[in-house]
Amino acid sequence: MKKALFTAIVAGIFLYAGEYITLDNGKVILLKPDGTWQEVKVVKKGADTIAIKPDGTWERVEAKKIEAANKLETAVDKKYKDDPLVKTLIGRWRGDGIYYQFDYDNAILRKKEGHTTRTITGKWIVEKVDEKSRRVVVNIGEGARLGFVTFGGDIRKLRIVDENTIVDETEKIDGKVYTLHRVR
Amino acid sequence: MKLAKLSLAAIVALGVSAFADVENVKFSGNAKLYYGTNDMDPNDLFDQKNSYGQAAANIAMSADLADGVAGKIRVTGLSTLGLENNLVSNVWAGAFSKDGNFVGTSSQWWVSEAWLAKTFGNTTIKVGRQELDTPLAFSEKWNIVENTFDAAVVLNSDLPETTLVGAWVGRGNGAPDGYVVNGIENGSDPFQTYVKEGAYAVAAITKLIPYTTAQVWYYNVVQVAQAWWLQGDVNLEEFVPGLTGGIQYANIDPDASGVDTSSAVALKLGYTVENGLKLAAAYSTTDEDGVVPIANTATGLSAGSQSKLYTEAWWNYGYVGRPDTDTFMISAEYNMEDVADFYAQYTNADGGKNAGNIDMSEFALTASKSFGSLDATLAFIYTDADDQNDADSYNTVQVYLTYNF
Repeated sequence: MKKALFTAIVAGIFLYAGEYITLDNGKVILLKPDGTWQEVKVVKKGADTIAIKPDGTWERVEAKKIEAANKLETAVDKKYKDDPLVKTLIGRWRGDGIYYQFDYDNAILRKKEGHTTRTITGKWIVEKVDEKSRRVVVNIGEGARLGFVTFGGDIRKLRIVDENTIVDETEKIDGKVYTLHRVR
Repeated sequence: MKLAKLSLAAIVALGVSAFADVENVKFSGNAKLYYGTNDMDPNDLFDQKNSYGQAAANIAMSADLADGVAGKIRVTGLSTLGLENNLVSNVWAGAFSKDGNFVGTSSQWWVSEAWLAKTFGNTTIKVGRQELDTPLAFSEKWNIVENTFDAAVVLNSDLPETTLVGAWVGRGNGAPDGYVVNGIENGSDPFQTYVKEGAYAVAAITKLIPYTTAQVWYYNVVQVAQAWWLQGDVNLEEFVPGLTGGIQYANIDPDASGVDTSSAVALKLGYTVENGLKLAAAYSTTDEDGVVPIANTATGLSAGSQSKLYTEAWWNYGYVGRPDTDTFMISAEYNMEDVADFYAQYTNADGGKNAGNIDMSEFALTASKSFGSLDATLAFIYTDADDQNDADSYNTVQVYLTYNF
């Protein structure tokens, strides 16, 4: 009995470690720590919520986590919130003199400028995704929006190279391109 | 009335159609307040006589227009906010008009950027008033405002891993002695012809050499000088994680007969520790027979002009690029999460006979932190220079506040 209880507690700790997102179509995906994702099926078994993975394994999921994951809707434009390229951005990125942090409901841009560091922080909106060129245009920390005109914050043009590398092409027009790597 | 409604609808429809290809239209800006003070004899820190302060504001509008055209317009304003009445006695920028008259306490504003850029395939042409970042002609960003240029720049990236640059600079508002921009007197235009008759520059920046970013720049400052800048920055991450290196060579050859060429060589080694601590060490030496300093041609090549040499001091510009000067610099940078970003730098410039035997040592320590949209930096600088404060060392404290909106 003691062994079973211990196993259940340990299993519980690990089983609740996943990060889930509910998509518009009701599907639920699991964001893995390595930056990839997979769809899971969520079923109710009594008071428990169970996530069934494609590989046949399953895990018990804290129902609140799935609800909290819906915050992504307020963070990025609904149109793009399920886009894998956009989801890849979630996390922290560092390059030479530049730093990004994308959370579900907030983003931070820090960039060295002269003797100071310029910080833009606030909600972020995805303006555009080009799957072919793997480019994502994000609008960080805007204060207000009037049609296609936005006030405050900064628009950044990012190219997703892979799960661990992005390239900031915002200042490409000035010959400046920043390569950033995911901070683990 | 119906006709009026129809016309209004047509106008709106035309308007929407006209702007259909306009993307990423952004209004943004910042407001800055910078303050500095030192204890140069006979004053103490925070005395009005040895303090300087100013406020600045930037408001910008940028947009991606149709057919690969982008544009930006930015207006910059400078004001002392009346600080000179009881707190400071000098300004950070725009102290003198291009005619040399003191205008620092006047409120000033000007169009600091107004450019259009068009991209055709792998080629971009950018024309108008803009910032530049080239080794010997650049916008100095350490001050409360930066100098800009009336210029045309062409970038091409048809060659693999390589960017070719061609630039023409017609005018600029750069000012000497650390004031960075010309002040505005009675609404006059602060921009003036670049040096004598403008300048041309061509460059190639390539990553074709493994682990290396190499750049070669050639300048023709019309009727004044020709210059070269060669630089190679090596990332040895693959062999020793965190290790980087760099080498620079610069040469300025004045057109005037009998004037010796100025040159400089610099080396840099950087290492990032696993915990994020960034360390760097650099050494530079300049030709003892040179005449002009290896520094920014846009701010007069004068005392106070910033240099792109790896050894450049944090605050005391104008020393490391002088002829006949050997300099070493060490620095450390660390981001203490949830506390602040810290930076420390020690610079020692040893001037020989052609540099008037003037030595300069500087230690700078800064702490930067953001409070939402407010960026704050606090700096402490210890300076010991033979040509300042009667060769007696002194301390400087500076506060940089920037609110981004």
